[in-house]
Amino acid sequence: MLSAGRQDLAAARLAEAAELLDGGYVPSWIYHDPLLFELEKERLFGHTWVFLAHETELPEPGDFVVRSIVDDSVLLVRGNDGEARAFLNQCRHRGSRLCQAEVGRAKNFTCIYHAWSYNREGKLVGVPYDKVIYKGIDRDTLGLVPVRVESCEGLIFGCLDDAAPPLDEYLGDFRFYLELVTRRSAAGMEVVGVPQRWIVEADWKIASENLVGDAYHTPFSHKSTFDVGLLPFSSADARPGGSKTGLHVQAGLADVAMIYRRPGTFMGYPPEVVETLRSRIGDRQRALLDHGTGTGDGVFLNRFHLFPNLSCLNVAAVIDDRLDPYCSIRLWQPRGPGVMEIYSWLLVERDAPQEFKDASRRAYIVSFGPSGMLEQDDMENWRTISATAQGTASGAVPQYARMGAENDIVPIADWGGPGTAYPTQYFDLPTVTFLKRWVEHLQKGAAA
Amino acid sequence: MSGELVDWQIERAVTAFLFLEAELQDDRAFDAWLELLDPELRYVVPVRTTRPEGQGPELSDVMFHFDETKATLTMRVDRLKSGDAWAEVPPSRTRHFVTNVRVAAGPAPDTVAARSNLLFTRVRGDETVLQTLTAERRDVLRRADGSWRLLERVVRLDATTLPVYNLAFFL
Repeated sequence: MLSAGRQDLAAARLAEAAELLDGGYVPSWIYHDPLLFELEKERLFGHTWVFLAHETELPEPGDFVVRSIVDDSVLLVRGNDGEARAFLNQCRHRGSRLCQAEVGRAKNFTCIYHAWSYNREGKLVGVPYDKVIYKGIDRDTLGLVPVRVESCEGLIFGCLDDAAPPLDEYLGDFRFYLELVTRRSAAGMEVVGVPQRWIVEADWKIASENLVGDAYHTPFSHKSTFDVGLLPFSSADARPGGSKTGLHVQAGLADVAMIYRRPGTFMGYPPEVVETLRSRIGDRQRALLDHGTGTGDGVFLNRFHLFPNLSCLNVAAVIDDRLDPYCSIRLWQPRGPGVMEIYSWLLVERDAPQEFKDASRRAYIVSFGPSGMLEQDDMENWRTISATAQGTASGAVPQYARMGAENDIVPIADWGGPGTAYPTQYFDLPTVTFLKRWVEHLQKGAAA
Repeated sequence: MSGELVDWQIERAVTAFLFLEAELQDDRAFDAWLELLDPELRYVVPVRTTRPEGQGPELSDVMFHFDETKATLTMRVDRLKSGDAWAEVPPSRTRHFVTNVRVAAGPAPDTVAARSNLLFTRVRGDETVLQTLTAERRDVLRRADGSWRLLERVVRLDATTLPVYNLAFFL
C-alpha cells in the first residue's frame, strides 16, 4: 500500500494528467514513473481481468502453464474434472515458489522446501510427518490461494479481485467483434506451440496505444516493409482515406480496427474459412461482415485492443508471391516502471490443413514477434519514448494527441454492430479514450 | 557430440567458415554473408520454455523466433540495407563469439555437422550495458562447387524470455 503522502501525490498527478487529456495532450512522464507503476499494480491490474492463456495450451487434466499478473506468478492448471483453475504460484507453508517450470503436466505440485504437495485442483494433499508434528493440520484451509478464472471463446482470463464484475460483463459489446476472429474454425482456434516472450524497456501503455489506434505510424515506421514488398498493400493504402485505414470501432472496453473488404476477399484466408465464420456467427454479425458498413462494403477485422493490455493483430504477409494471413494475440505485461514483458501467441484455425498453419507461422514470424520486420522497429520507437519520459524537462512535456479534434469526425450513423464506429483510423480519440479510462481506474482504485 | 573425428582439414575449413560468417555479420557485409547460405537453407531459432525434467524438449518444434529460408533472410537483409529499418538506424555494433566448434560427419554425402557455442553481444548507441544472448548452434554445411555453404542451422538459445528488445540481427 502507498503511504498517505504518496497517495496525495498520486492524486495530484492523476488530476494533472486528466486535465491534460481533456485538452488532447498526453503527459510524457506517464511512460516511466515508479509511483504510477505502484498505482497500476494496486488499483488497475489488481482489479481487472488480465489474459492468462488460451485453452489449447492446457488441453488435458494436469496440464499447466505459469503466467503472471504483473508481479504475481500465477499457476493455471486443468483439474481432473476438466476445469482450468488458477492459483498464486506460492506454497502456503513458507511461501516458496511452488512450480518452477513454465509449462508441463503434473499429477501434484510439490514444494521443494518441505515437500508440501497440492493436487491439480489446488488442494493440499501432502504434508510430511503431519500427524506427528502438527497433530491434525486443517488441509482444507491451506490449499493454494485461488485466482478467479473465467474464459470466453477459448481465451482464459484471471482476476485478483473477487468483487470485480464477471468476465462476460467486462467484455460487453466487444464479444460481438471478438467472435469475428475466433469463429473461423468449427474446431476453434489453437495456439501454435508456445508464446514468444521478450523484455522491452518500454511502458506497456505505449504498446497498447499503438494497437488501440495508431494507423498514422504505419507508412513511416514501417516504410522498409513496404520497400521490400512484405505487406499485402501499398503505402498509399495506409494513408488517410486509404483502403486499409477505413474503420475504427469503440465497443465497451475495446477498440477494434477494421478494413473494408471486396466480395470474395478475406485477407488471404481460404473461402472455406469465410464460409465457416459466416455459419457460426449471428445474423447481425453476418450482415456486418458482408455489407454492414454504410457504404455497402463488407469488413475484415484486422486489429483489436482490450483494456488494459491485450491486443490482437490479424493481417498477412507476402512471401514468395504468396499471401498468407496470421492472427497473433499479444499481452503487454508490465514488469517495472517503463519495462514490459511481451507475450505473443500465434493462433491458427485448428482444423486448417498443416500447410496453411506452416505458411501462417512463417508469415507471422517474418512480420511480428521479436524478429518481425515490422515489430523490430516498433520496439525501437517505444523504448525511446520511455527513455525520454525519464528526463526532468522532457517528462513534463505534453505530447500532442489532437489528431482529428478539429476535423469533425462523426460516427457512422447506420453502423451494423454495437458500439460506435468512425469512418477513419486517423484520429487520436481512441488513444485519449484509452488513457482517460486508465486514469479513471487509477483514481477509482483510491476510493475503493 | 560423439562419433569419428573428421579429417583435420575439414575441421579447419568449417571453423574458418564459422569465423568468416561471424566477421561478415559483425562487419554488416550482409550480401557477402548471404553468399555463404545454401539455396535450400533452413534456419530456425526455436522458442525455448522451461519444462519439468524429462517432459519433452524445451525447444519448440513448431514455434520459432526465426523460421527462415534463404529468400526470407534475403528480404531481411534488403530491409536492413533500405535505410528505413529504424531498429538498426544508425547500426548497432554486434559481436559474434564462436567457440567450442565440434565437427562430425553430416547426414548426407558432401555434408558435415558442426556444433558451436555462440556468445552474441550488441551495443546500441551509447548504451553501456551489453545486450547479450548465448546459444548452441547446430549446423549442417554442404559442399558444392568446392565451397562450403550453410544448409541448416538450429540456434538453441539459453533464454526463454529474451533479454533483448528485438532480434534485428542474425545468430
